[in-house]
Amino acid sequence: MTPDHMDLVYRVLDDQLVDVDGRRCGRVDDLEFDGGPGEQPRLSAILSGSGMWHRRMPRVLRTAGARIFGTGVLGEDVIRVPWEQVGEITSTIRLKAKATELGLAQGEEEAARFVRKFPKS
Amino acid sequence: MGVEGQEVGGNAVTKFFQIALGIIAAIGGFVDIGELVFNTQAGADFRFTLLWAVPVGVIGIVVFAEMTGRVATVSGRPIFDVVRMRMGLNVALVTLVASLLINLITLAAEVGGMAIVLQLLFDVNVATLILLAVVALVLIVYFVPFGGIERLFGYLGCALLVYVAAAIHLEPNWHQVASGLLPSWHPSALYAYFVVGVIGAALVPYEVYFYSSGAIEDRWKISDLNLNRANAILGFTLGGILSIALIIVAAEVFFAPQVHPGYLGTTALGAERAYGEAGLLLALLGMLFAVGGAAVECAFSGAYTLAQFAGWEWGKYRRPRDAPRFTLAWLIFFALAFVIVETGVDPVLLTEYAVIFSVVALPLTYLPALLIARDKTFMGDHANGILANAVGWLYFVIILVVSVAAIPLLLVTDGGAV
Amino acid sequence: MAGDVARGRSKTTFVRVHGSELSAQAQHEAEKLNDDPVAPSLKSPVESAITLASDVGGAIDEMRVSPQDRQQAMENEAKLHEWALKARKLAETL
Repeated sequence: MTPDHMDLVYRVLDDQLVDVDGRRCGRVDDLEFDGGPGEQPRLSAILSGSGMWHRRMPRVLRTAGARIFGTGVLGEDVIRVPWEQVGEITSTIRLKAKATELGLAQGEEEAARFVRKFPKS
Repeated sequence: MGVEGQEVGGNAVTKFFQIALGIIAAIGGFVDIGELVFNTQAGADFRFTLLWAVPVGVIGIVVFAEMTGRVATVSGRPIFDVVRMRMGLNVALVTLVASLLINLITLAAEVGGMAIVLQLLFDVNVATLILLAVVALVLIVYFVPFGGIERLFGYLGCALLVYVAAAIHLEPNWHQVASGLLPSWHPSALYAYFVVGVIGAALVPYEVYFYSSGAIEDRWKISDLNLNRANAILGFTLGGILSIALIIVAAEVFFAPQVHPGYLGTTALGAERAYGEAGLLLALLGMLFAVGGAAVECAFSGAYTLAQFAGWEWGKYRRPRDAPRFTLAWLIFFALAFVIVETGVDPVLLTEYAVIFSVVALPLTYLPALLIARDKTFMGDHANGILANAVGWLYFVIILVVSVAAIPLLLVTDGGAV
Repeated sequence: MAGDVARGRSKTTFVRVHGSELSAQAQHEAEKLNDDPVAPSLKSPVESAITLASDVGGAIDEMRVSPQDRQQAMENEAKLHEWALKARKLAETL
C-alpha cells in the first residue's frame, strides 16, 4: 500500500472489521463503488454480511448460496458501512464508530440476549 | 497446546518457569485419541518399522505451529483469519465446512474415548458416562480461564509419561528401535496407510487452529516470539517422544502375539504389562486428561474457525456475553458431539476417519499460513528466513503427497483392517 | 490380560469392562462365521474357528465373573495362549 495505490483485494476485501471500541464486528464481504460508465469510480462503502457471499461464488452455486446464506437484503443479511467510517487499515479495518451505531452488532445482540441468561456470563 | 503468556517482565527466572510449565502442558496436551489408536496399531502390526513417521509428523506440526504462532503474534491474525484473507471467500468457505465436519467427528471421537476410559475405571453404563464427560467438559470450559484449562489437562495428561517409562522398562532391542527411526518402506498398502495415519495423527489441523488462536488469547507480543518458538519446538518434540513410546510399548507387548489393538483398553494393557495396576491407572488417567484436553481444543477450534471466518467477536478472554456467538458455537459443538456418540458409533472407528480426513484437508490451511509467514508486508523482520522457507515448502510437498494418498489408502485397506 | 490377572497386576473394573469388549468381539466373530455361507471344503475349519471363538469368549467371561481368582486366570492364560496358536495355524491353512 502506498499513498497513491491500495490493493483493495489484498488489503481490504475479506478483512476483519473492528469498531472504535476494538470489538470485532464482521468482515468486508464486498465493496461498493459509485460512478457510472465513463466516470471515475469511487469506493463508496463496505458491504458486510453473509448475504453478499452468493455473488462471489461460482455461477452454478449462486442459487444454492443465496438460499443458504441470504440474498443480500440491506439491513437484514447485509450491512452497508460508508467508506467515510473507515478510520485505519492495518491488519484489520478499524472503523470510526461503534458496531451498534453502524448496524453491525445485530447478530451478536440476538445471541447475547440468550447468553446473558447463563450464570456468570 | 499453548502456554500461559502473561505480560513477560524482565525477570529471567519467571520467564524460564513460564517456558518450562508451558512445555509440560504441551507434552501432556500433545497426545490425543488419534495417537493412542494409530500409534498403538502401528507398533502392534509393524513393530518398530513405522517409528520414522513420528518425527516426520512432529517436525511438521512444529513448523506449522511455529509459523501460525508467529503470524498470530506479529500480525494479530489467527490462522483462519489468514485463510479467509489470503485465499478468499470460496476457498475459505470450503475449508471452513471441511474443518467443521472434521472437528465435529474428532470431538465426538474424543468424547467417546473419554467415556470408554471412564468406564474402564468405574464400570458404569457408557451412556451415562458420555453425558458426564460432556457436562464436565462444558462446565470446566465455561468457568475455568483459558490458562487454567491448558494447565489442568496438560499437566494431568503427563500421566501418559508412564508409556515412556514402560518403553524403557520393557527393554526393547534398541538397535532395532534406532533402525526404525530411519525411513524405510514396506511394499504394502497397509503400511502406507499407517504412514499416513501416524503422520496425520501428529499433524492435526485443529491443534494448529487452537495454538494460533491461543497466541491471541494469551496476548502474546513480539517479546513472546521466543516463547512461541520454545513451545512449538520443545513442547511438540517432547510430545513426540510420548508418541514414539506408544509405538515401542505396542511393539513389545502386541507384535509377537499378533494382537491387533482395536480398543483403548488394549492400549492401556501395554502400561499394565510393564507396571501392573499402577501402570494401568496412570495410563488411564493420562488418557482421560489427554483426550479430554483434545476434546476442549476441538470444540474451541471449531468455534474459533467459525467466528474467525465470519468476523464475529471471539475468545475465552472475553466474557460469554461479549462473545455470545462464539460461546454458543462451542456449546453447540459439544451438544452435537454428544448426540453423535450416544448413537453408539465406535469412537475408535470415528478416530480413524477423523485423522484421515484431517490429512486430506490439511493443505487448505497449511498453504495460507506459509504464504503469510513468508510475506514481509505482514511480517516485517519476522517473515520466514531462507531455512524456514525451505523447510516450509518441503513440508507442503510432504503434506500434499500424504493428503492425496489418504482416501485411496483408506478404501484399499478397508480402514486398516486389511 | 489373563497373565496380568494371574499375577494380581490388574484392576477389577478394567478386567470386567475390557473383558466384556473382547468377549463380545469373540462372540461377534463366532456369529459372523456361523451366518456367512461357506464352501463345503471350508466347513470343517470354519466349525473349528467357531468353537475357538466360543472357547475364547467363555474363558474371558470366567475371568470377568471372578477377576480376583488368580488360579483360574493362570489356567485361562495357558488355554488362551494355546487357542491363539490354534487360531494362527488355522488362519495359515486357509
